[in-house]
Amino acid sequence: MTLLAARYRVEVRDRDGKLVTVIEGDSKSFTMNFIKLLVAAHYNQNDAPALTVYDVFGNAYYTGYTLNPALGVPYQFFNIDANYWSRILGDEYNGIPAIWLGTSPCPNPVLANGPCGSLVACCVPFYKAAPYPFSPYNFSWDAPCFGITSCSPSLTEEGWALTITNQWLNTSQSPFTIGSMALVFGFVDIRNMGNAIVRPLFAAIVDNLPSPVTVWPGFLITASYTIYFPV
Amino acid sequence: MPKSKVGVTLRIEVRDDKGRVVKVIETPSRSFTQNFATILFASMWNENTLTNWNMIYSFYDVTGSPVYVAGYPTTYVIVGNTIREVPRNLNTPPGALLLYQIGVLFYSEPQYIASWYQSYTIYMPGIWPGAAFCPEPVYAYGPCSPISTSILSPSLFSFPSSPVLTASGWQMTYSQTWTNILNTPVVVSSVALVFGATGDMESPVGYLLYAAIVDNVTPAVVINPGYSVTFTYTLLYAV
Repeated sequence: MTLLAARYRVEVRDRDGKLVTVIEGDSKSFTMNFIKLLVAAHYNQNDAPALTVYDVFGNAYYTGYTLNPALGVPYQFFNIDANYWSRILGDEYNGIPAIWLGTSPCPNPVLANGPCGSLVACCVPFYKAAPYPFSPYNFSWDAPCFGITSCSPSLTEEGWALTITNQWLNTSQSPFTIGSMALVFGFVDIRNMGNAIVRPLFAAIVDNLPSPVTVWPGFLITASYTIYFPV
Repeated sequence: MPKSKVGVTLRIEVRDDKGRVVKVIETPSRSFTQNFATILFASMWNENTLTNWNMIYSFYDVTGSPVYVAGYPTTYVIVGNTIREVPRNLNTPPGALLLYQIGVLFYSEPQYIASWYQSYTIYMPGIWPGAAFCPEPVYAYGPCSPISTSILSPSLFSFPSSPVLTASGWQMTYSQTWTNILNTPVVVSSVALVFGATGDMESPVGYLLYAAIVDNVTPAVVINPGYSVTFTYTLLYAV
């Protein structure tokens, strides 16, 4: 069978840039939330089924417009346009697309709403909030496609490839163990098309790392997902 | 390490005029189109960002007409101490469809399709048959030589209404049956999974039709008068 595959790669580098850990594997878990959004995306705004979906923070919504809180019909649900992601966590943080990290493995990644345990890499403070332990390193507000992905598809031997790479620097004074990671996309309701409102955020893929990795202060962790569309 | 992937399978069933199955072909699908990949990438961005980055995506709809996703046709420049709105040099052909942004990659209903498709060979999302092989399915706009609905009459397009978890993972199934209503045999050599997509522009146009997957049918299948053919695409998202 020809397959559309998602693969992940995690690298950890020490303060001198020396590679200390590499983990690479096939992603296991397109989430139930993502599949439900995918189903709802087949419908117009008058017909969409009411499917319960949870955002990356565990808040429940219904697709379509018949039950509240109504999420609406997916217009964009692969959105990683951080310029228009609504603020999160009490409006105190800007979410950084797209690979977020948690300290624990998830009991069942397919049913997870996001990375499990404590969220340590996700966001930057908007104003006076305390920073998260990990700060984005390769993400640039000024770079094309924020420096985290190519801006157009590339044809590889395995098919069309979409690669997203996030580097996170442990800027805290403590080591953290990373047990799970999630590919997080923003959602745009079709009724908000053109209104530059991207919310909420959903985890399309959640994976446990085969063995948790420890990232010491000053160490850099690089997480990548590549999705292949077979040709 | 276990694999977690999405498999795509194409199944073709031909039935005679009494409903008996006379042929079954099941084959891996190989060809997500360049158009699908382009729309997927374009759908990651807001129209303002496309404008600011001066980024343009182009793809072809199922008729082969070019569509541009480019943000706004104007931008702002600083002239002296004032800001002026000026036309962007988008370098798109005159009359080409220009969208500020795009989304909805999988629209499958028959309503709200852009009006100009009403006069096309086939005019709604589904699994379209073509009379010819495509030289390179990955770059095809749709099935090659699409077969008119006055030759093969379509049933309703069946598409997912809820998540289905199987032992192999999440399964998304698309299916459509076409019946030969002529008195002569019809040959099907290619098929395409056609979805709607839509975008933001000055005046809404409804959904565009584009082919997300195109496959050649080898060997080609012959549909005799009164016979029907059912195409089924199964996408499997492993868990």
